[in-house]
Parts: sequence; C-alpha cells; structure tokens
Amino acid sequence: MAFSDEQVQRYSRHILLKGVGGKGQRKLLNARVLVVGAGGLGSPISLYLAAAGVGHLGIVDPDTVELSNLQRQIIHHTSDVGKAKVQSAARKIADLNPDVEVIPYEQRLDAENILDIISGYDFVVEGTDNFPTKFLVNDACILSDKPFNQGGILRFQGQTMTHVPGSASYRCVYREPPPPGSVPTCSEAGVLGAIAGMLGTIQATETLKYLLGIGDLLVNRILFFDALSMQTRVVDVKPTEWAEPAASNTKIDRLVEYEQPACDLNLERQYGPKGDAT
Amino acid sequence: MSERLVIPQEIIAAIAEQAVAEAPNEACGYLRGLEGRVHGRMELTNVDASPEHFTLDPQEQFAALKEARRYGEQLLAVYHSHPETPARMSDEDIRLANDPKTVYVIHSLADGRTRGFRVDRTRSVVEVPIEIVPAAPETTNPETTKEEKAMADTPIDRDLDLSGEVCPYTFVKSKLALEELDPGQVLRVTVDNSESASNVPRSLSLEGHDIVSLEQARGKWLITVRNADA
Repeated sequence: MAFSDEQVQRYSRHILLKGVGGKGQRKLLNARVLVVGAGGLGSPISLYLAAAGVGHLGIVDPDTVELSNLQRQIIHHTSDVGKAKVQSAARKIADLNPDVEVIPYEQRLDAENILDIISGYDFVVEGTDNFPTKFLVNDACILSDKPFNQGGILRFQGQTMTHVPGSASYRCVYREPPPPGSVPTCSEAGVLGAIAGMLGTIQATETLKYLLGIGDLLVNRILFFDALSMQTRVVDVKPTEWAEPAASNTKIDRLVEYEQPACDLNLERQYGPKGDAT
Repeated sequence: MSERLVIPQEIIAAIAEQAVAEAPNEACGYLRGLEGRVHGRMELTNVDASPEHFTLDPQEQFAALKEARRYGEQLLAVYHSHPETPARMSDEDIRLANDPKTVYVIHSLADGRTRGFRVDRTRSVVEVPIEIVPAAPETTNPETTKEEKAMADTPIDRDLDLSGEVCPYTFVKSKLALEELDPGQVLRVTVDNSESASNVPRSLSLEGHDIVSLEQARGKWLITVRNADA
C-alpha cells in the first residue's frame, strides 16, 4: 500500500521518527484498537489515536453527553449535549482524520457481550469511571490474552498500567473492587479537567508504543502522578498467581459483574445517570 | 589541560592568500588533521558571498569530510576571513557557531592575526591558542579506498527525483523509498535545493544508512545512499 501525497504530509512527523517511519505508520493504519469509555480519558485517547492514523477505532460508551462532561471530555462540544457520546466522538474523528474507521458501541460492556466485542481488536484501552467495568475489562482481556491499558483519575491524581499476556494486571494491584462507598467517584470528589488530558495522553502513548513495537511499556509497573505536587512515581508490580487465568478457583477463570457501589446509585438518583465522571 | 591548535606556517600563508583573493567577501574552508595538529587545508565556497558572514557549501562540506577520512584524519577547524575587522568572533559568528566540537579559526586582513575559538552550547566563547610551526608534518598520500572503488560503479536500484520538493518532504520521501528497497540496495535521490542537499544525507546517515556519494550538477544534487537496514 503506497501512501497518498496527503498521507505523506499528514503523517510526515511520524515517518520522520526513527523507529516509526513508513513501516510503523502502516502498522498504525492497519491497527484495530478498542477504546472503552468516551469520557474524560476516552476523549484524548481517541483523538490522539485518530490523529495518529490508527485505522480502526472501536468506541464503547452507553451514555449521552451532559453539560457537566464538557469541563474535561474534550471530544464533546456544547452542541452535542443530549447526543450519544459514541456518535459525538465518531463525528469529531471523521472530521479530524478520514483515514480512521470508527466502530461505535452505544452500550455498556457486560459479561455477556465483552468477549465478543474485544475479540476483533489488537489492543484495548480502558478509561471508564467505575470499578465494575475496570475489573470486567481486566478479566476479559486476561481470559482472551488481549493486551490492554487501564487508566483512572480522581481529583488531581492519575494512575495507569499496561498489560500484555503474562504480565501483572489491575488485579495484582487491587484484588477486588473497593467496598461500596469507600472510594469516592469523580462525581462526588471532583476532578481537575486537565488531569484527564495528562493521563489520557499517556494511555494513548502506551497504545501507540504497543502497536509500533517500540520502547518500554508500563508492563509490570504502575505509574502514578499527582498534579498538585507535579510528582510522578512508577512502582514495580509483580504478577500474582491469582491474577492469571487458569483452572484454579483462585485465578481468573470467569467474568464477574460487580454491583455498582451503593453510593453511586444514590448519586444517580440525586444528580442524574452515572457514567458522567470520567 | 589547555587546548591549542598547531598550524604550519605555510597553511596560515595559504589562508591569508585565499582571504586576499576573495576580499571583500569572507573566505572560508576546513582544516584537517589529528590531535590538535593541522595537516592540511581545504578551501570551500562561501555560498553567501558576503563581506560579513559565510555559509559552507553542503556538497563541499561532504567532500571535505570524505577527504579528511581518506587521510585517516578529522576536520579540526572551520576557518574564515575577516576582510575589514579584527580576528575575533563577531555576534554573527557566535550565533552561527553550532558545533561545540570544532575550532573556529579567524584570519583577519585588518590586523593580520589568526586566532582560534571554541563556542559551547551556551554560546560562551573560549579562545584556543594557535601555535604556528615552520613546516607541515609528513602526511601519507591518500589512497583510493576499497569503499571508493566500490562506489565508482555502484548500480542504482531506484532513482527518485524530488525536484521541486522541500524539507522535510525530501527526507520523508527518501526514507519511504528506502524502506521499499532490500538491505544493500541503492537509492539515488535528486534534490534541487541546498537545504535538502545538506539535510537529506545527514538524516539518512543518522538512520544508519550509508551515504555512497553526494554530487552536484547544474543546480541539482544527486544523493546516492545504500539501504543499511539489518
């Protein structure tokens, strides 16, 4: 496949890079990435992946755009309020880069649909606002030998790690979701909008590194940053036996749908549908 | 250890002669040698043809580098003349002094002096004293290397004419074309501006490819490069 003149111009800054070049750019154009969540993290992730020319982007989000999202979910604009997030995101991406095919999933991932959805992708990036989805994505990717990156933000802090088959995962750091009510969500505690950009761009970078096969991924490591002190820490994580898929009942061998924490359900009644945090 | 540059009298005389011949414009060139001792001089064209500043011709720079290598030597210094001002670094000289690893030698027709300077990345200037010695040390005659014999009849696997293209697209397109070739195959790129003639070989070389030759003909530059991908 030869590049068109427009593609040579559009991707020239990638082609210039040692370690990327035309070969790397072709890998990106042929790649399939699933972005879980079109919110605070999903916005920069999908915008940067689309700009980079990742050819096929699946985007999962069941929610519609709310006014309170716009402080950080930069793929959505004021005129999108009330529209499905995946449709709003798809339109921005089509405008940004016509080379990118968007596959929208206007639905919540659950134990029934997740294995089927992720099976068509090379890499999964997770940027949702709730623990049940984080654990579901983690377990489903491990069961499917699917590499993925997870990210989370709250207040002024963020954390992210990348998993490839056999490496440590989210469950090696957090064995179970926290007890309902013990960890506040973004809609309770707040989040500085720009934090979503800081972490989301790290997640997009990890995804691109994986697709290009360059550099050292955040594998068996978790990155934390605190924007107030502007300190970053990278902590080694050992893969634990119970976090790997296998027959033993101490390992991941099935998908679990955790209950939504009770506080979130209360919040939902008070402030509207959840999913409005990240 | 205080650094110094040892230059034979006859080379200083030759620089002075070139400076007079090219006045009122600045004259320029390279000094090659080893371990702070200059063994030879290479006259270059000041493409600016200006009395106040100079720019080396990229094709000649490349040829000079190859000549120094042929002698098993390095380019120790860039020299230029100051037709009307003393032998010291002008603001323009300091601004354009991008290589902290080279000595900048200035020969002044105004005060007759020849002085050397080094400029670091912070643009601070340190003088490098010049010691003038009576005669040039013996250097062995350059021999045609195996490499050069090989390049004389290098078959070209692909010819890419990038006339009309500018940086960075000249390099981008050269890189894309090289990726299509097998390791060891040879690409010849034609460019028509000196910026590309300077940038394309340098960038390809940084990517690890072998620049076989750079030739100039009728306002165009022919860059011959061998794909060195493992």
